[in-house]
Amino acid sequence: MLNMTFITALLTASIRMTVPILYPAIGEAVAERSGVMNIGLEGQMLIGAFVTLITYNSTGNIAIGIILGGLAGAISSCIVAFVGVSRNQPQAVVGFMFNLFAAGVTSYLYRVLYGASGVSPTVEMINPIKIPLLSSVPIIGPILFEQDILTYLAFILAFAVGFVMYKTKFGLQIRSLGENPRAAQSCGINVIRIRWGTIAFSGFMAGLGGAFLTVGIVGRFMENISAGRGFLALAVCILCHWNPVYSIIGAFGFGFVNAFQLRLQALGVGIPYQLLLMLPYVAALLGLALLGRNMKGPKTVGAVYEKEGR
Amino acid sequence: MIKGIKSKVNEELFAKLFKFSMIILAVIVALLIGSVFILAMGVSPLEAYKQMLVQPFLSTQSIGEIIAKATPLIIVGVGVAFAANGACNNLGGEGQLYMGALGTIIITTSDRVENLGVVGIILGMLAGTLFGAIWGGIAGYFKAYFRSSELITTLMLNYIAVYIIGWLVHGPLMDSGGINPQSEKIASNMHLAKLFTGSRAHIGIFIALVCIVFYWIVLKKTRFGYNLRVVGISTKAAMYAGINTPSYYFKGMVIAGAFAGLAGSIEVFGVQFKLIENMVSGIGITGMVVALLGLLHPMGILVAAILMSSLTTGAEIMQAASGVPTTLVSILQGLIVLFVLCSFSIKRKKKVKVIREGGV
Amino acid sequence: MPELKPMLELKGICKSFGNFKANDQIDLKIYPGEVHAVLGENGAGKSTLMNIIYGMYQQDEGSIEKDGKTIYIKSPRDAMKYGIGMVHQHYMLVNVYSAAENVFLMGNDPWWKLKNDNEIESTLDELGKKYGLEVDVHSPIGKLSIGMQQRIEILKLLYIGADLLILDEPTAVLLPQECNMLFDTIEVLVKHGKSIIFISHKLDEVMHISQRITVLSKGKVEGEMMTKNADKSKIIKMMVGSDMEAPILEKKQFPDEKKEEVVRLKDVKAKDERGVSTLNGVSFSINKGEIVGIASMEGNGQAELAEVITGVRKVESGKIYIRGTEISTITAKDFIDNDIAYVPSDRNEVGTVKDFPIYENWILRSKEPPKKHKLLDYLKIKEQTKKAIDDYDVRTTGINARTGNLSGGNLQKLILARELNKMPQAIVCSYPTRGLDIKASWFIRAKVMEMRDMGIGVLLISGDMEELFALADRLIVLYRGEVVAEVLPQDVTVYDVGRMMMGVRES
Repeated sequence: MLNMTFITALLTASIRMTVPILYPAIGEAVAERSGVMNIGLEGQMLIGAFVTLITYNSTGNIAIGIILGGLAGAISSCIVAFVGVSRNQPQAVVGFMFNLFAAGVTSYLYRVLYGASGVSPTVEMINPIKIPLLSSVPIIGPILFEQDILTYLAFILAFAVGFVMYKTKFGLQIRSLGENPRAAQSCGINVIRIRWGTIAFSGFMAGLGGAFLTVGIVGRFMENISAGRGFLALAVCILCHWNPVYSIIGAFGFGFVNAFQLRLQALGVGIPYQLLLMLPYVAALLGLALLGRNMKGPKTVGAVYEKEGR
Repeated sequence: MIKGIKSKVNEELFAKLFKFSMIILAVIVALLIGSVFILAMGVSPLEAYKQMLVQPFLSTQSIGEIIAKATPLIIVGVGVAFAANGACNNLGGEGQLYMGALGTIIITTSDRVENLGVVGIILGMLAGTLFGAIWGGIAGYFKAYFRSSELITTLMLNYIAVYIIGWLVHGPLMDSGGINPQSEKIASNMHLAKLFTGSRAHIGIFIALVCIVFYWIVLKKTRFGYNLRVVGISTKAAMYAGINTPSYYFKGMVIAGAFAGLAGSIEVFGVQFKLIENMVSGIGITGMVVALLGLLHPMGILVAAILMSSLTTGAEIMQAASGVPTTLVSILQGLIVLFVLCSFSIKRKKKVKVIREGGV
Repeated sequence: MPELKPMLELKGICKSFGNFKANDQIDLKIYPGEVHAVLGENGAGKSTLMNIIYGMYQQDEGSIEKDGKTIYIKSPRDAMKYGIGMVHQHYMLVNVYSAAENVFLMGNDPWWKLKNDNEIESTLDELGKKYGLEVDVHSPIGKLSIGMQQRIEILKLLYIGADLLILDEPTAVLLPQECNMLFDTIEVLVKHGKSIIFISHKLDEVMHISQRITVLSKGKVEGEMMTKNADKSKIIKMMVGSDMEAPILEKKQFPDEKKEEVVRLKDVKAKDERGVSTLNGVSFSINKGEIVGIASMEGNGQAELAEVITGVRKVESGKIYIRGTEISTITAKDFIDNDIAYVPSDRNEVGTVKDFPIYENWILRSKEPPKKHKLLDYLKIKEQTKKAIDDYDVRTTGINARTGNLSGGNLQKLILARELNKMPQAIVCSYPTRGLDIKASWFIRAKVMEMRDMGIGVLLISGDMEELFALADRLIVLYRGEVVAEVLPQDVTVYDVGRMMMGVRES
């Protein structure tokens, strides 16, 4: 079992399974650094996955499907921004109810559009792009450099977003919102506007993650296609210290467990598959228990912010 | 003095009426938006809403269904409300329900308890409550001592519980006599009596009503409830008052889990009579909605639970009659809560900002 | 001498919050190269006015002119554009960032500019040298002293080119030598042509540092003068509003045999929220029927002292004895069980739960609330609350009113009534008359005296020297978390105590 082909296939699949967790994790890192919590990632992923499907079905173009999927995630996240930021309602509740709403909408519309026919339409999956030279590197080459564009994009974004967050003025401004929004306001930073922006960004990323689920992993849309990844992304965000680059490690950890349990199932190893499916969540809990205790994250995540004065 | 009393009463009454009317408004707007979705199915919204909102009250069978569905919702709602008063958001109703059901089945299908009738029911409910309490307690412990937000821990525990049930029901607990992935059925002398023939409503509803009374008494009339509420509003005041805040986070979650576990137990004894996957799907989330819409008030929870269960029952009728998918209910529930939350902040803007000392 | 034109002029500024008129027809002229002090008691309208100048609020009526031209300041960004900067009482700094990062945050660089800490740090160092400001531009703000944080705030404003600096109660939390550094800095700034608005309610400072004074009271301008022509007693009258004499409180002298120790601290050490050691070995005792006054500048450990004696904060080391027994456990509950009452400085967030009705706040921090069959006896609780409201003349619509709606004075009366009802052995009162109007302050002070006469051991922490001298039997001066003096008020002057609070020891 532990031969090279198995390991290579396992790692390649792990990288792919990292992606739908990595996208929302990056987005959430930005959002929480700005002092807001987007619990609605799960719903935004569903919306992204769904929109990608129907766009593809009407246009036949995956690229447009992916882009619209991301945009749909961003636009729908504005509901969370409105009620949770502008209206100052508890963000956890807002996000959670948004998920309920999004699950209902996607499931309902799916039934409306395709339910009657009984056919679940499939999409053309995106193809892997071989990067010349690098993919010829033994062992690592095929694992890392024969992935598809969305996968490459995820990792690139992790670094790019990390760069912006820690090396530019914009990132400094965003992070100041998570530490001391009053101070930021006194510098002339529009707290509410930037928080809307970061939530929309996290929604966009979640939408992309959902799009990837449709065109990169599953090949179609189904109810609960996100399977709790939006929530795992929340755990990754905290465990990886709200840092987009470190989130790669966290997301990979869960992606690996995911890919691993699929393979174990296929191999017919005696362990019941449900226990394997459980592993990512148990791991998240253990992680929080061991590492969460002294986490020094952005101080004001989820706290009510009332704009001073008028 | 009398004028003062009059204006005070009016102010409070006005505030309550305002909140109440906002909820009604939210429901109406949600229904309006819902009608767009109904139209997408090519169905007349008036027809569909008649089936969903009116029909359920026209037959004893559907009224019974409403009661049967409301029973676990009330109990879960009470649990969520308890925790919410202590600043804990219990998103883990789902997992705690399942664990409660699991505990119940384990006890009631064991050889010793199998034929104990009423005693068996009591033992089963205790077991269910205990299992649920433990499941909630894990998240509570994480919050109290690891400072991990209960939002994430309860979500994780939900998935873990579902998978545990899935495994057990396909494996170790599977009914040896059958082919379906479900547990052994509980003995027939341990079924909760039905309220009336022709529906699923059972006497568990009385237990639910007791829970509501219990909630109100404990929250408003005991030291424990008082301390819990202080913790929920101000940790600084709690420290001042000598209240051990982390332990109250823990206790709040344990109670929330206990109630959800009890609800799971009642589902086993009253409706399902076995352990099976998807048996309590959605009740956890709806329980949260119920607590929210009920504004954490016992009467509110009762009314909200009945409202939600009528919606769900009505949706089933509607789906059978015009093919509109029942997932419309999720859409409506989400919209209603979001609108209600929006309405809360309208009141806030009206309040004149109190000048903080030293800040003028 | 040519007529100097004001660089900033406020004409007829009015601002109301609901029914409350915070600023009423305020005129203000600020001249270049000058320190203009704005004097007033708490609640006079100073901060509102400054927030209007700084763009956080917009005035309801009135105009602002810069160099003769009307300008509109709609946000802090606008204010910065016009060269107006403000150092708030609570510093607007991000604690995890360094000074350089905080300045970068505020500056005018576009959002995509790359962080270049070294560049900014060297610019700041140069600027610091030019104005004589000693700063650490590299470490995170949270690790620096309050005085240095303030200097960084000032440096921030200079970096963006402010000509007018508003300093809001800048000496409130400074150590004495830091105050002197601040005054030196202000002189340098003025020499460079900057204007300063110096907000304070400390008359001596104002006389020392300013060239012009405006006195605010109850939202109006009561008087405006050149400092060199100012008459101290006239100013005090303007601030207070009338020639009220504080009622003289008779202090009963207890014969020595009655001295029974209630609370004793032995070498107590404690840290504050940030983990900084603020109590560095304090030892003293409080006896029955006496008022021990703690005199200290803010930030010298008195807040932590109050919390440690009432059990809200645990000690790092040292012992606390209550009636001879050592309290080794750390929960507030034990202190409550030993009848130690607490009137905290923060009435709204700590002393009461503001969303509760008044009668529910009655049992907060209560050892044994009235119970009937294991349930809280609300009938009795409401009865007690009603009686307390009547006895203490708490103005409210009723015991069902939301506690947060009570005004400061009434809230404090409620808290006092509550704590006294517990028949405590000892009570800690932390800044009990802060933010209260004069009448309420006198009522509270009389009550504190009553407590003492009832035989309760009182620890009074206050920033009001008059209050301390009038009430305390013994004064303990705290400086940098240590007891630097224990004196009887009849043996010292206010000036002496002030010097001790600033760390000047008797030679």
